[in-house]
Parts: sequence; structure tokens; C-alpha cells
Amino acid sequence: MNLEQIMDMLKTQERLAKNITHWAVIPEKPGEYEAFPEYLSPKLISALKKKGIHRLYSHQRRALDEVMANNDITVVTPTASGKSLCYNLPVLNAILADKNARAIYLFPTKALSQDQVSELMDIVDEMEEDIKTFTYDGDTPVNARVAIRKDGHIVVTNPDMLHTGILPHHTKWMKLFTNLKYIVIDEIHIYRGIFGSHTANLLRRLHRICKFYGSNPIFICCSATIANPRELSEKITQKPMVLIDQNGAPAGEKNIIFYNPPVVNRQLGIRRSSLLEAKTIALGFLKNRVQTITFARSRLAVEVMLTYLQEEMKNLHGGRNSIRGYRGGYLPKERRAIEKGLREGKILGVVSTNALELGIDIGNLDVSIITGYPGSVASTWQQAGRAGRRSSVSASILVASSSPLDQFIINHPEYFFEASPEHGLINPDNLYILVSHIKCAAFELPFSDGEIFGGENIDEILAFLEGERILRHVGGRWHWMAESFPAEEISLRSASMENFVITDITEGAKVIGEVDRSSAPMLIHEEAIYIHAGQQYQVEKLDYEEKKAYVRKVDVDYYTDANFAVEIKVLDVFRQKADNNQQNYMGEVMVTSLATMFKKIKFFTHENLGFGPIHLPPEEMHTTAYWLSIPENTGDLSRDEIESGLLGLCNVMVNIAPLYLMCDPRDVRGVVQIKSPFTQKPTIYIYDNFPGGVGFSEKLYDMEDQLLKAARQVIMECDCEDGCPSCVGPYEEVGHGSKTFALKIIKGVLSD
Amino acid sequence: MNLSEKLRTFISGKHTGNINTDGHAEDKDHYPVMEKILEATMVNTPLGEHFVVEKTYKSCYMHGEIKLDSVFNISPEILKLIAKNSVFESLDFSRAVFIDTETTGLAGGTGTLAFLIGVGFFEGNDFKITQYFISDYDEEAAALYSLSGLLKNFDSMVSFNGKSFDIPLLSTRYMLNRIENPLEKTFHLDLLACARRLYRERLESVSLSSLETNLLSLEREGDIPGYEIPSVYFKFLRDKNPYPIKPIFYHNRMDILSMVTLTVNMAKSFKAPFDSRNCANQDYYCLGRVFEDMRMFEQSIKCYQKALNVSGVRKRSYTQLSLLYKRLDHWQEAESLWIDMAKSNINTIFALVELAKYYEHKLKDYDKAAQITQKALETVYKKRTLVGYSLKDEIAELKKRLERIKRKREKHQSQSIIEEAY
Repeated sequence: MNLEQIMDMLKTQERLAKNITHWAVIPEKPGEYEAFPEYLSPKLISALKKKGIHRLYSHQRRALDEVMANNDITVVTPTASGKSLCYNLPVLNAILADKNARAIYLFPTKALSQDQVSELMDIVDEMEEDIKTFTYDGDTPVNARVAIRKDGHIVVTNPDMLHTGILPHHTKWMKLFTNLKYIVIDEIHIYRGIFGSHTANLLRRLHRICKFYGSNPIFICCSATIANPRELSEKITQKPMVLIDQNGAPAGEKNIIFYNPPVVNRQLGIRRSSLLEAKTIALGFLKNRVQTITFARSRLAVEVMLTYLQEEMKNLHGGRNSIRGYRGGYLPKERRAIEKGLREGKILGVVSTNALELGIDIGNLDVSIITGYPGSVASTWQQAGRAGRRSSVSASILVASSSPLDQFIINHPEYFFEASPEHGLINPDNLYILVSHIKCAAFELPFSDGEIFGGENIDEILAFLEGERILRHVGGRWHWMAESFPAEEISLRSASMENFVITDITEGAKVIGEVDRSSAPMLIHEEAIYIHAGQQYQVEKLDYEEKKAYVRKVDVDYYTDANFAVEIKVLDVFRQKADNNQQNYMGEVMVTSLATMFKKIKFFTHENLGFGPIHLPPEEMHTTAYWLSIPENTGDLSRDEIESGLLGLCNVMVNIAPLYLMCDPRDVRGVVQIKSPFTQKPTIYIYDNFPGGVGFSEKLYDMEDQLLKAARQVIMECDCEDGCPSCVGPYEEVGHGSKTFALKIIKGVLSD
Repeated sequence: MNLSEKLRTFISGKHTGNINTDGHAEDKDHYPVMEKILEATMVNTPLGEHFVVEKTYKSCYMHGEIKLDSVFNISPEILKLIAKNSVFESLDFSRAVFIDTETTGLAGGTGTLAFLIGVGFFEGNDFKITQYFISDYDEEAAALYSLSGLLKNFDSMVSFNGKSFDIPLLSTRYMLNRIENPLEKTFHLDLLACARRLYRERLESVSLSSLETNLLSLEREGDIPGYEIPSVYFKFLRDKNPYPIKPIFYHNRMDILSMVTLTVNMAKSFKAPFDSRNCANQDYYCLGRVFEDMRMFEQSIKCYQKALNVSGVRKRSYTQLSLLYKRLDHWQEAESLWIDMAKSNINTIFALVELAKYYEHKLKDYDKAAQITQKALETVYKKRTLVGYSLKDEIAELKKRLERIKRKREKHQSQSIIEEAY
């Protein structure tokens, strides 16, 4: 069977067809073209023609024109719309005109940058010009580095390398910084939350260094479709942006299918597992040798899905190894081999986290299956874009889980297909992040009295750092006064640098991966089942002080899931307002969380096999929160009823908030207090799950009633009788009647 | 919470209420004490003030049993060998500075400061050390300015690990202070590379302190360990108490003096390698390499010969010497060495293969060549049984060789028969 036949089968086979909630056929779209502009170097034009490019897409031409006019631009582009020319053309054109001109390309991951270099090199080779493009990252050999610093016209790197390898050694890069004309930031929508807040500060440091060398580069940013691409790039780069969002590229026919697994327990509103449904659908394609990528939301889900698919495929042509896993935590060599196998068609199926949603070249796949809504519309489009990047027919199937957000999206396709509700949010002034980068910036160049950083006077922070004996204030300047190298202590990817190293001690000792500190209590507590590359390991010992976990290979039929107890305390109120019957607040809180126990959950049936305690110290976190308090007599509910309603409402709000915040569902957390020590009233808190906060709470505060209204919609539309995981949560957790009470609470506080 | 309180909880996770009691940075009250204790002088420059400490060592001054001015006795030929580079024959010690810095860390990058820059040079036969000291960050530009001024009088530099540490660091400091860098154009002899070339086989470490103890019979008194220097300096910045930093000045001067002594010592090693006071054991292998690279084959051969019986470098000396003989067309010497090696089981397979090549290509004695190759093959098989891992490539190569030799032998034999027939 070929792809069309399988799709027909999906449409006609009763068992599957009845679960399809939406089938959108995005028709083939013709391209909109423009001629090459006159100012474009003839050399460049002839190289493009040799590559079969005889005209530009309209958005590529506009990008060129705007950059030519010295404007900073943000180009919004879907997958396969020729976005790399939007930056390669202006950059190459400038270097052809002035061989001293330099550019930095920033890609969020190493893998992406290697891909882009080869594309760029193709054009350069075609022109037979001496334009040197180099990747500068952790893998660059030391002996190649000197040449790159001196002669590289285009330095392709990632924020982490800019942070530890380039900026702290800027004197060695004098030629680059003195002649820096362009900075390209691809996939800028990835720079949100913690990573984005760090990157914005990294660019504040870059601006200082450019100023020292007298350059003022133009920024060319590319973003996936989000609600606020311009605002996000402006916040990250601190430059006003011209937005280019009219895509002129043609596209092949695309089928986007929304699939909602059947309800298996109507009373509890429990649906068949999205993982198992996605597995069935994926096997339909794989067994017919249709190259398929299956995305899963977590590392754990990837490993579970991989185990299932490999098991089913083991007796077919290609065997287990025709299906591979791909996710962060695999070693680079392993990843490169998988990418190559996919391109060459030697690997039939891959199961991946969002690690493969970005432009890493794995060739054209026919089908992408998305197990559970990836958490953002932008990611969903990118994962869908993995199928049929060129102009052939392709299919993408989104298989919803029972989570409220999935259910909301699967039942409201308009959120997906119309204007994106998603905001890329960052908080460059997160104190924790800001201070980290002020340290790095002081190491790079001493601060002068009154110097501003990110538009703010930072004298108070500098004075604080002097008090901590990290800086020294003398002669009107603030000098770095420590032996350490601050950039090395700061990771851009997480709130803390502290990763736990996982060592397999089955035979000898072999490091197999890393887990960041915040995930450690969840994934690698003692007795946890940690899954890596489809292999189960049991955590034998967790050395919390030394940040090491020792695991041993096991073969069991369950996985583990940890429970947490969370407390919250208000430290400071930044904003507050009263609306109708509710009080809204935004401010700083202290969250204390304690992993209490873990559950053993059986594969396939997902039944609970038992419990175990977790003995780890509580984790304290300062962060920002949004909270909402209601009158005690709301809806004439009893205290218990209010508590149950609040718990349910909080669950729904936290679960659908990512639709607006463009964050991972785990990035915001909710806590309920029936009588808050701060407000003295029943209160729902929703906090940023990062030290210092990254802007989610503020956005939630600004959303007014939007979130409550969306929550109401979710609860009212849910088919379950008395609460289920898709709305307020199962009644075992939130109590009987939570659905009704939550609706009464909403009615009591909303005036409409 | 106000910002500072927040900062404290965010950053340190503690409410220490740490009030900064450090002396005010701009105070200059400590200057007289510093001048006295450190025997320092305040110098004025167009870019501000800084301290300088100057010490002169008379021509008779001995450091590590060596008179400093004996560097002038080092001939151009020896200088070439020390540097393993013939451009250095023109190095003139009366126009050279010995340079060493003390820094706020080893991490490198733009945030590391060289707070003490020591420069040693000859004035006539006296050796003088000038130390530029930055008693606070704002004096850096002034000190760099003075250093530039001094360096104008010299055209060469001698350092210990300066190529990868001190000089790039100083270059960065010049750039950050926007002062023209005087270090780039200068001729630079890095003694670490030289010492490593010469002593790496004998000594476990070729750090300056290891060289002092093991080579230069030097012992320091009242020195400060290098790793303590940054924190002692940071403390000084805060309290401006000059006593604890005094040993840093001593440490810096000792480093510079030892560079002079080390240079002389290396010169002796090259000049009279067979004088047991200058060289020992594994050094001969290293000397052999340098002499060979500098095309002084006679000396090289002598050194390798002496190293043949030194454990640790034995195999490499045999191998290297045999290859040198081969390179020089000293085939008989090479052959007897290879035979020795095969007999004594020193790099046996290499020796057998070299012998086979010699018999095959040079002597065209295919019987012998085949016989030796066969022996090599057997040795590899034996080795495989012993070590248990596969030596596929080696075996394949030897088999190929053996077949080629056999082919040649047949061709040769048939040719001889034809010739005889005539």
C-alpha cells in the first residue's frame, strides 16, 4: 500500500475513521515570485541560477530590500520556504562587496548549524569566491580555531559557544567584532522562557563588545509562526524590527488529521492512551514501508514508544534496528548516525522528542505522527512539516492525549488553523539570569559608573557584586575580581548548571547521559526506572551531593512516576487589581517542593503496581506567580466544595495556559490554598516553574478573564460525568462534584 | 524585599547582611607603607601612576650555581639547538628581556589581569629585574605604558610558557586598554617548549619548580605557591596590607632568575652532552632527536647510542637510530641494529619489516627477504595469541609483502635461468 491508499483506509476503516475529529487538506499553494534586485552581485545571481534558482520568493526579496536599507528584520517562515536565503543573500552580497565584512550565525543547536554551513558552502563554492564559513562550537578542533578567529567571514555557532567560547575571549576575535555587519538568529521562537531570557542577556553582552570595537551589526531573525514574533525578536535583540510575514513559497498538498482516541471509560472520561493509538497508526504506515516519524512529548514516552514499535517490527524486514529513537541525552555520534540513516532511507521509522522538529536534515519523510499535542501550535506545525518538505502529498496526524490542552485543541481546530494565540515570552530582567550575565559582562569588559545594561541602570547590582567580592569598584569602573571564569558556571539552557550524571554500572562504569537538577527528583530518585535508548535501567544509588546517579540494566514491565508536595509563600506583590468578585495579583513567591513517593506503572495497561518512598531534600525556588483570590462565599459553596472546585479550576487553568504562553505544560505549576495566609481568601496560584520567573505570570495577569473563560469552555464541553483528566482532573484527586463547583466559582467571579 | 536583599537570597541563598567593610578603593593612605615594605617606587606616566620595584644583581651573582652573565657565553650554534630553530642564532641576550607575569587566575579570557609584570634584562654585566605592579585595577594602563617604554630598548623576549599564557594575556590587556601592543613584533624564545624537548623523558614534570629542584639545585625560601597568588592579591586589593604580597614579588623574581639559569643549563647540555653534570639517562634520546632535527647527525648518533641502554627510551632510541642510519645510507649499521632488535625483542616486527625491505629493495636478496618476512608473520601470529586481539591489518600487510617478494624471487630466478642459458 502506498501513502494514498493508507490514507483512504484511515478514512474508511470504521475503527479509525470515527475518531478523526478534523481532516484538513491544505491545498497546493502556488509561489509568489520577484526578480533578483539590481544591487545583488552578478556573481551571486549566477551561482543561484546554477543551483536552479532563477527568481526569488516574494518574502526573500523583501528581506533583501529591508536589510539593504539597514533595517533589522524578523522573517516568519513555515518549514521549507527557503528561509536560509533570506539571510544568506544579504550576508553574501555584503561580503562580496567588502571582504572585510563579517557575520555571526546563531542556531539554537549544534546539529542545525552543521547543516546550515553545508548549504552556505554550496553557494560559496558555486561562486568560486574566497568566502570562509566555519562552524565554531565545542567540536571545533583547537588547531582550527586560530584560523577561524582571524579569517572566518561567517562564523556559525550557537548561543552556548558565544557565551563561553567567544565573548569571554573577544580580544582574540577582534577582527570579527570590528567588522561585524550581520547577526543572523535562526529559529528565534526557540529562544523563549529561560533560554530566551539568557540569550537576550547574551546579546546585551554582545552589544557592549560591538560597541567597544565600534561596530553596530544588523540583526536578521527567522521565526516560526507565533502570535508575537516581532515583540519576541525585539526583546531578544533590543532592536526595532521590520516584520516580514507574507510567505511567497509554494507548498505541496498536505493532509492534517486530528485524531482523538476513543473514550474507554465514559464515567471517568478516560480515553485510550494516545501512545497506544499512535503506535497502531504508525505501524499501519511502517508495515507498508512508508517512512514515518513519530513524535512523542517526553523522553520517557519516546523510549516507551520505541520499545513498542521495535517489538512489533522485530520479525519484519529490517528488524528492530529499522526503528530508532532520537532525543536529547543521546550522544552526538549516535545522533549523527541516525540522521544519516534517515536521509539514506536505511532507517524506516524514527521516534523522537521535539529534538527533530527543527531543521536538522533528515530528508523527506512521508508521514509524521504527533503523539499528544506538542505543547505549542508552532511546534505542531514544525513537527507536521517534517512530512513532505518538498512538493509531494504528505500526511500529519495529531493524536490527542486526555490532557485538557490536547482535548481543547483537538476540539477547537480553529485555534490551530487560524491566528496563533501563542506568545513567545521571555524575561531578560529575571534577576537570577540578569545577575549571572552582569558577572559575565564584567569579566568581558569592566562596567563604567552609570553604564546601562539592557536599558537599565545596574549600579545597585554592581554594588551588590562588589559586596560579594566578585567585582571591584575603582577609578569609576567595576572590574572582575575573581579567579573563576563566570561563563562556565552558567548554563543558558536551564536555570541551574547542575546536571546529574548518569552512570551505568552493569559492567564496569559507563556514563550514559545527564539529567538536569530540576528533573532529577522526578527521573532518577532511587529505585526509579530510567530508560535510555530503549533500555531500562534501575537507579541503584543517587548521590545527591556529588550529583551522580548509578544505574543498572534491568528488564521489568513497568515504569515509575514521582509525586510532589508543594507549598507556596508570597514574598512581594508587583501588581494587583480587583475585577468583579476576584482579586488578581502578580508578584514574587517562594515555592518549596518535596518529592514524596513514586508509583510503579505497568506498561500497556498503565495499572498501578505499587508505591515507594523518595528521600530527597526539599527544593526551594524563588519565582514569580500570578494568583487569583475569590470571596469565601462564592456560589454559596461550602468550604470543601470550594476547595474541590478550586483544585479542579486550577488544574484546567494550568493545563490550558501553555496555549497562550507557548511553554511546556511543566513550565507553569498551580497550587491552591483554601485560606491563603496572604489574601486570607480561597486562592489559586499559578507560578513560573523557573527561579526568578520568565514572564509567564505577567502574561497570565494581563490576560484578564481570557483564561477563566477558556477554562469554562473546557469544563462545559467535557463529556465526563464527574471530572476526568481532560478537564478538572480525576475525582480521586479533586473530589466528587469538582466540575460543578468549578463552574459555580467561574460564574461567581465572571460578570458575563 | 529590596533589591539587595533579593539579590542576596537569589545569589547566595542566605541572608548574611554582608556589609562591605573593605577599605575604600580610592584611598591612597597605604602608599607610603607599600613603598617601604615592598621597596617600591611610585611612577608617574601620562596614563596615571603605578608602582615599580627594581633589583639589580651584580655580575658575580650566582643563581643555582650559575653566574647569570654566563648566558653571554652561549654561542649562536647552541642557541639554535636550544630553540631548535636556526633563526634564534641571532638572539642577543643584551637586547633580550626575560619576562614573567603574576595574574589573577589561570582561566584566561578577558577577565584575567596580570597585576605584576616582571622583566629581567642585562645592563652591562649586571642583571636587573624591574617589576611593574598594579596595586589596583585603575593603575593597569599606566603600568602597561611603562612596560611599552622599557620594551622599546629590546628586540627579543625569553619566557617560560609565555607563548600560550603570559604574552596572549598581556596582548589582551593592551587591547582592552587601547594601547598599542609592543609584544607582537618581538622575537620570542619560550623556554618551556625547549625544556620539554630536552628533559621530558627524564623528569616527570617540566614545570619551572620541578626543573629548579631536579636540574638547577635550587631551593626557594619564603616562596608562595603559585595557586595561592590570585587570592592573596584579591585580599590585598581589599585591605591593602603589603606584607602578604611580598612573597609574590620574590616568587616572580625567582622565576625570572631561574629562566636565566635554565637557559645556561640547557646550553651546557647541548655543548657538552657527555659531561655527566649536564645530561643523564633519558636526556640522550631527547638530545638525539634535537640534533637529528637540526641535521647534526654525528652528535645525534652518539646520543642515540648512549640512550640505547636507558630504560624507558630504549625502544624509541633503537628505532630512531636505525631509521637515522637508513636515512644516511649507513646500511650495515642499520642492519646490525635491526638484527639486534629482533634478537632482543625490541620493536621486533618493525625491525623485521625494515630488514625485509632492506633485503628486498637494497640487496635484492629475495630468499633472505622472504625468510625474514615469514618470521615477522609468525611473530605477529604469536603476538595475536598472546594479546588476544586481532592484528588483521598487520597480517594482511605482511602477507602482501611476502607474496610480492615471492613473485619477485620467481621472476628473478627465471631471469637468471634465461641468462644462464645464454
